[in-house]
Amino acid sequence: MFRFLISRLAQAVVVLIVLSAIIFIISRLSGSPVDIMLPQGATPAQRDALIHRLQLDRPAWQQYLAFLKDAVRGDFGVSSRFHTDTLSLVLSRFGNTVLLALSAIIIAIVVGVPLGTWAAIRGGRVDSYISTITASAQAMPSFWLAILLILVFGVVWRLLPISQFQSWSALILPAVSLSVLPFVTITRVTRSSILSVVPQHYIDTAYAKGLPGRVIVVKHILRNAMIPILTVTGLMLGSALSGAVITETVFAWPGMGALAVEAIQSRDYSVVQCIAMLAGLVIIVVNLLVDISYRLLDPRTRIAARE
Amino acid sequence: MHPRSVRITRRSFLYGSALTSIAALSACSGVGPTGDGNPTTPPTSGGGATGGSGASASGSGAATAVKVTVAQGVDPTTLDPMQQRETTTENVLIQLYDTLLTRSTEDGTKFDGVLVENYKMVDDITMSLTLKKDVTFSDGSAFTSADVVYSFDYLLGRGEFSDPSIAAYQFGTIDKVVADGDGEVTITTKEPDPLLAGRLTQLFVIKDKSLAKDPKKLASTAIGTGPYTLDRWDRNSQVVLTARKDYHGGTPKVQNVVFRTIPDDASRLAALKTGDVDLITNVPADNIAELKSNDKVRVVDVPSARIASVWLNTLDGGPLAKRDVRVALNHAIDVDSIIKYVMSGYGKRVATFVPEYFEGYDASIKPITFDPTAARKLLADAGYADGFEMTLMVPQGRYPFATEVVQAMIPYLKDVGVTLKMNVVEFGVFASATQARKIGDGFYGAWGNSFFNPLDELTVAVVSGDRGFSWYSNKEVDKLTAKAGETIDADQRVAILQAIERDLLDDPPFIFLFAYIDLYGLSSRLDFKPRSDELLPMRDATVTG
Repeated sequence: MFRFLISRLAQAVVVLIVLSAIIFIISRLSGSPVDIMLPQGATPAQRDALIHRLQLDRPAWQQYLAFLKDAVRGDFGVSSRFHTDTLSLVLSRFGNTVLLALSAIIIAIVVGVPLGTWAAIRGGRVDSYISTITASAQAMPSFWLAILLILVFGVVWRLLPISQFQSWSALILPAVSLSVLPFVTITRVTRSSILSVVPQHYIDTAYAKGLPGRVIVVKHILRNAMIPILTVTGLMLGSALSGAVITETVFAWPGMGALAVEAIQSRDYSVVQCIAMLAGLVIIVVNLLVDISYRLLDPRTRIAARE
Repeated sequence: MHPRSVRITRRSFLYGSALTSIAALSACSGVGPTGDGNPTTPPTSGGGATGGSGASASGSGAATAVKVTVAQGVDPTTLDPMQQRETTTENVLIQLYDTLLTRSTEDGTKFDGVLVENYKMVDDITMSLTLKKDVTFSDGSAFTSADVVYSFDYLLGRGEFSDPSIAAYQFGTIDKVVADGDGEVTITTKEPDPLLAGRLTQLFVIKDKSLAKDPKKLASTAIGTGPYTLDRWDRNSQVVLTARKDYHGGTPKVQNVVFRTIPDDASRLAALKTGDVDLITNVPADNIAELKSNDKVRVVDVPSARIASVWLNTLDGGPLAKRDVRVALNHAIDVDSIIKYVMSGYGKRVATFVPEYFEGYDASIKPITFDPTAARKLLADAGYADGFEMTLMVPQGRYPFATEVVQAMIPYLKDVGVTLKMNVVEFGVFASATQARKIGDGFYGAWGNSFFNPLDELTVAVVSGDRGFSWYSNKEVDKLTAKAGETIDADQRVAILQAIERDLLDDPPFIFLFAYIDLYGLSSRLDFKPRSDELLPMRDATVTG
């Protein structure tokens, strides 16, 4: 386990460095922040002065090395748009994103896993009802669903606050809206994964020895069907944690995704880089946790690793 | 036996991961707020207080403190008044800081003093200003001429400051700012500058020596002479302001003002309809009918100082270099119909780029008529009877209706033989392309004229030069513009500006289009008159009921 962790951490460092290089190159390829910051019809002299002030007149490799050196120390520089320390700006938004993403994933799991299980075990009409629900949920564009939720719960019924957080209830609409896609995926994966476990001989054996149905479903079927469910949940969590652009924008939820869009539009290099690095880190960590959980859930993966 | 031990491992793993995520969550909420000193993480500790004040103020309304909430699409980028150039940021700053002058609400070409009792031009390059007495900053100290000089130092990067601020670009003509006793300031320009008073409406006055210890302090704290003080800025979420009882212009009627950031158009509208907010900017024209049917909301439209045109590249040869072709393009397009059908009527036709609320407006100067026959004839005379093909760059997400308006031009131009192609680009690409002077045949742009004076657009976008918006060269216009730029006498200047406008209609640099009309959504309890300069000074607002 220890060696496994060490090797994964080493991989993570390499991935982050490669990621930082890619982000650095791509963000520079997309153009300079200078032209956006300048007023319409600025003189070339004003332009040069601003380029110098933002230190964009140094060679690209120098800028990259300086960026890496500072990034290692947790210093991502000053945002050219927000005139404030980049890391604390991004982290102040990251907390909100984490809150929203975890709530959404929890909703998706709590609803999706039982529903998927039910569909698979019961089959027949229940299965087709649930398939219809998931298919229509998947077909809904998230911005459309978000606006619909706002209209129904915020404007017509006035049950819930529609934007920004005056209280915990403000979390409900964005979290529900963000949970739809993970919910659909988790439900479907649960269903198909269970369907592949049910015909196994050890399930027949369990029935044969007279175990109650509930015990078979929870302890034998679900547990053996867990690996694919965990995998997709990890993927979904990773992407939700790296910022839900549309949901955050529609609900004026000050998360990292909305910030990323604003930063990209204004070519705010330091913020874009910081968000990309943080998102990369989050995905690496989530994947690592998923891998560790495989080993805890399924003894075979541990043995395979040892051999 | 074996399964049992595994089960325990799994359970402890689940506990472990749950604990980890809770720890991560609290760690993040711990890190976030330290930036501004206020909890930005939603419903935790700070949320309760926010919720409480929100509910009580909107519920009880006029009974105690009146609170007005304004929703804008973008968060202020900074609260340092010199390091910004966005209207959305300026709208917050204007509550905290005063300018020397302000544009008169009755006549956009006139100015009222804010921190200035009166001002006069001593000669062509010298302006003398008498400051108001008994003005105090929010920390209690008195406002004097030293504060004005200090503000200019910070703006222009003089005195103790080494670099000019971002806002300095509007103040390039200023030579010296000298205090003359406590109550007088003399400003000298390098050359005569008719736009000087207009520039002074854009300078926020900060307190003398307020940046001595920490130059970054302005970005989060504010000591100004303005009508409001900063209660709290929850970055990304809201700015909370409280009225000053000792404001020199009289205590504002609205005690509490909150600026909230709601990026999505539909969400902003919904917030207005539910009464969560009292004022929203940039209402999409499609939603006007829906809002008008709601008796708790009213829509106010104000012609803006943003003028749309199609810039034509007249410098690189080809058909667009020919005067006749450019006149023909102006004849070919039915701008009135485009305004009516594409923009739901929310545009104001202009002959060139001088609407009636600008200096130099001349009612006798009419737009080029919609006349396809004349257009075809002019094109034939110029040797383009079979037409030609041109591609316009159209920036996305910046100017309302940009792509729709250019799309609507395509059939009109097709009708006279010209094939118009659109190159729709993201605004950043557009900004880089204009700066790099690589625009192809031309682009759709909208000039935000913060001076209400055609001189602004003329000097930067029409006269020959190497700037990104200048794609035209006409010696006569160059000469007249230079002359207008040094004519301090208003009547003489207006005469020159009108002569220039006639020249431009004769030899157009652009396809002339329209002034945008800004749409504001107001709750019916809020009494506020939106302005053509897009600013929202809440000291002028009152609330009824």
